[in-house]
Amino acid sequence: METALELKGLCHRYGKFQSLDNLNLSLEPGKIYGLLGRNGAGKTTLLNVISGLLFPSQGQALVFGRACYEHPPVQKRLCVVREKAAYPRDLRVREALRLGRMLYPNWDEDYAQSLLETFELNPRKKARQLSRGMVSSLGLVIGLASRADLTIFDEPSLGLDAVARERFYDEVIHDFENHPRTVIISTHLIDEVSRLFEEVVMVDGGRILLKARTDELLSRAVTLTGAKDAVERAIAGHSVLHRDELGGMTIASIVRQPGDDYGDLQVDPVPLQKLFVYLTEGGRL
Amino acid sequence: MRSLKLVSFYAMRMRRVVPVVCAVMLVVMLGTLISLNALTEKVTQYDLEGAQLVAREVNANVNFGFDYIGAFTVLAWAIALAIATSERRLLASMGASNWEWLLSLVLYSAAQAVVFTLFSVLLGALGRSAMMLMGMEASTPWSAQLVFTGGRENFWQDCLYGAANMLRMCAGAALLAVVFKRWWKPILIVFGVGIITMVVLVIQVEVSSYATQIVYWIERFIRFLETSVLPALEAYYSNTTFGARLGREFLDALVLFALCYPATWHIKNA
Repeated sequence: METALELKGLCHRYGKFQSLDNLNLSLEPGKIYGLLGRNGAGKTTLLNVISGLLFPSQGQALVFGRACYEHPPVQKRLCVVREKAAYPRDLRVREALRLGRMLYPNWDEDYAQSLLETFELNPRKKARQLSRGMVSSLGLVIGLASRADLTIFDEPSLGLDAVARERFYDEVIHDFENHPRTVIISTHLIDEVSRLFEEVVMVDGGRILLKARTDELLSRAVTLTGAKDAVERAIAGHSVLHRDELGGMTIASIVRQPGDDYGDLQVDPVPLQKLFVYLTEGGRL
Repeated sequence: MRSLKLVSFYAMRMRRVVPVVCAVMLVVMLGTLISLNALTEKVTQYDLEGAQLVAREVNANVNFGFDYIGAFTVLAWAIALAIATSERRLLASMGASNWEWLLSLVLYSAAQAVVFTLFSVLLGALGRSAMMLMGMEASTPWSAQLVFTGGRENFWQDCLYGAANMLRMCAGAALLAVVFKRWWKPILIVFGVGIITMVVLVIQVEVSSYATQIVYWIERFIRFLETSVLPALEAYYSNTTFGARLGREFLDALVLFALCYPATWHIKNA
């Protein structure tokens, strides 16, 4: 089975600054992936290298087995919706959709028109007349309607209100059920979007921190709350991701071990966003 | 084929510009007609020996006036510049390859050159028709051919050459745009060094030995241009037959467009 995306020893440099450092990754097709990372971790650089807007200093980024650059058969199967869209100021919404129709062979015009209504976009408006959220919405419409085999959304929620964000998440799920494809969503709103992710890839400092199934990842850590002494006994010998003390209570997030018994302590799952924060602050699973 | 579809995309994007420019040319034409008419009336009114003057003005406008091919060439040049900058970036961000962009630009520029040449001919015919209807007399009697061609002997050759020249200008504009986008820093540095060198040469300032070496090598380069490059260019452009001139326009356009591809190879679009 061909992989949707494969990174082989991928490196990228901005002058002397190493933005991507020996990335190795393989993503199977037909899943929704979350790409998580702090500001400056290298997410957008990675997406730009994958789509051929930037070039690796070493290694390869392969989309369906081929490098994307100057290779239209692969480029047609890839749609990247960017955080900073390159729409000319006088480009109308309907012209952008028309361009999408020309470039993406799986383009669904009816779906695009219904998405315009969903996101309340006026097709006659020019890019310079759109608010930040509307520009993001336009990108979402193009990304969803493209039905590209690999669709990547880079910070899709930028400028979107809560209603628009929920509509986007619903559209992703519903369209994915009817027209499965590989979707990668790079976002900072982790907890909000995590319900979409089948697998997550965490990037930090230009390196891949981990790649794991979301449910498996979430099951590997727990938060224990209780009296200080009891919590200290429970977490002894465990990898502690985070610890807080509040009065006489201790709240500790730890990596599970087989056969753990937490007694009467309150046990809660660690939300994905918190897990991400702990791991990027040096915690290890 | 995506390149063909992109041709219609450019046409859609530029469709509002062309009517505006045509409207401006019609206004200019109207102004010319009004001033010619006023001149004619003034001569009649004062019985001046201006009949010859009027005839000369009318003939000038019949033969050379209402010739907007130059204006359309400038418009084509500006459109090519736009396609090579903002449109190219948009296409790259949406997954079009550089060669798809370039091929679509070539096809669009060729089609545009034909259309603009036709517009130029039609506008000229419109102006001369108006002159005929307004009763202005040309040195030769009015005829359909005179209205359409303005009395030019090599009308179709001129049209073909105008279209080819327009295509070459588009190619030059596109190459200029991508080269500057990619290498604007080195270009400005070389430009700056060139200006400083010229100033040094002109005012003959005493400079350090290191700077003197630089000036020496620049002088040698200029002499190379004068003794080798310029004569080669003169030989290239020496043949003034129509076929040679037309061939040069197409060859130049081909070379300039072709150079756009290596100029965009691995160009950063993010």
